[in-house]
Amino acid sequence: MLLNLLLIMKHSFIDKYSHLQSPIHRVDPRIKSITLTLFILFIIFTPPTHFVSFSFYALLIFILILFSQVPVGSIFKRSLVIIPFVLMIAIFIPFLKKGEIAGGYSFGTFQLTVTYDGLTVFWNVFIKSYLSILCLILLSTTTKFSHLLKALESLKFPQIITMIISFMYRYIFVLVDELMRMKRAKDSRTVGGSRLFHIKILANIVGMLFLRSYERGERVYTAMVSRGFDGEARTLGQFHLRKRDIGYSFIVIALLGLIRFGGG
Amino acid sequence: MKSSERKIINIKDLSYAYPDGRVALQNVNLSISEGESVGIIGPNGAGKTTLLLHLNGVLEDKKEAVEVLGMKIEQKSLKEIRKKIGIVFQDPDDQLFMPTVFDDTAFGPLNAGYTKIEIREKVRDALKEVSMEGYEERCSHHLSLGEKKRISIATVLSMEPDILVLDEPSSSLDPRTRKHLIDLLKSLRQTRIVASHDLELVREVCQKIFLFDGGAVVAEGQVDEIMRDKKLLEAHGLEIPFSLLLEEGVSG
Repeated sequence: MLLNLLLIMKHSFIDKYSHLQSPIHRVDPRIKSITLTLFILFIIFTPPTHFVSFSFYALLIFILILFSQVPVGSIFKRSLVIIPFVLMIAIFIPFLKKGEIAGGYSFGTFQLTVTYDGLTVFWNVFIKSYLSILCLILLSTTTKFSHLLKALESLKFPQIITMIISFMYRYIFVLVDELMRMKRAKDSRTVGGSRLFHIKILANIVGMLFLRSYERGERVYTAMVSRGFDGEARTLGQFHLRKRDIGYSFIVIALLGLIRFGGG
Repeated sequence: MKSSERKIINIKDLSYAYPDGRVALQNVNLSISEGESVGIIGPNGAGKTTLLLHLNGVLEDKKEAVEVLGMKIEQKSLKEIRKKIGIVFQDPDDQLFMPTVFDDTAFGPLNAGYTKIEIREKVRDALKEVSMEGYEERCSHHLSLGEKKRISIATVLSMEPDILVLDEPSSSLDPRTRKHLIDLLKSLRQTRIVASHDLELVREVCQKIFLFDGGAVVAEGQVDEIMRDKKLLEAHGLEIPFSLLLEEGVSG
């Protein structure tokens, strides 16, 4: 999840659409996290051949996205980030798996065969990861990042991880800005030069960025200590569970159960 | 002026060298009374920030030279001292490290162990004091520098400190934002310690001055007394504030 968050982020805001006021946005972040995690578990534990279930899962996500008022195009774009990973992992499986042969190609003496079992595994990896990432994107686009962190905290997520994510969210922009400034300073002073020369300077910049981050870390820690930090991060939970939230969760889980165990 | 009151900060023979051997403070002696507003001025590298870091025990000296509110700085008094003395650092990006303004302002009170209701109240009051109500849910990164400075001050005001310490509060602010900041600083009631080389600001906010250079106190006195001393200021990389020159010019 962390990796995906990082990947989606780049320099734009990860929670760009989190200010919208849709029924999905208003759901308690804790309930939303739990429900969507359950959703992912349902997806993962559905046998790959239950095609009907998968289409209904997709339909359900699509409906939730529509309710959330987040532009479908932007969600689709974000969802593309996982394709390279899935391809890297899964592309060879259909060729390697033994079983009934679905088709084959021969290049002279070299034979490539695709088996049905292999295709099923490929489909399994692909559809499950894609639907799961849609769930995560729905969660991250409809929840303010700070609320998401609070939700994770109140769900007893390990504090060290929530703190790391929290600092990452706070300082990644600061670091990117710093990097941009250094790059601009470099560009204004370097004209021409070989590719190797530029790469060398880039290496310096990266080193410099590390040093600066390190020093900033020291200063931030000083500021934390000055305000009484003693190693334990305390935050104030500020969510109030409403009936509506439980209703939302109940409906989604009921639908999931129906899809999984009812029809398919 | 009520400067004969209780000494709230007492520093005797404080010396400090950084781990790399660079001497930052040498035999510093100073005391500050309750309710005073004190300026620590001096050129870059004079040891101003290093001094501030000693006030709440972030940097330690071996001789227990620093006494705050009658307490020596030692492990068991640190918590109490840090509650009573709020330091606002120069770079708001260091001061504001939580995801939202609310979390940042609540950080100090939370560590001090107040109840939820008290904390909410303190956060609200602190943000009101710096006129930043309604910013609770904002993410610090997307604020302007002036707003960040104000919130930075709120993050220590929420701890209701007896002593407020500010390191270069006006650096890289535009004139209007700077003016707002000066008004804000004047309106606060706590004992204030302002480290800066912005003498105009110091002149407006403070009554008393300690002039630092090379890690030592080279002069102390009332604001205008020191600021009129052209030779002294120029010898230590500073210059007479323009506002004072103007007034002198007009009056004589």
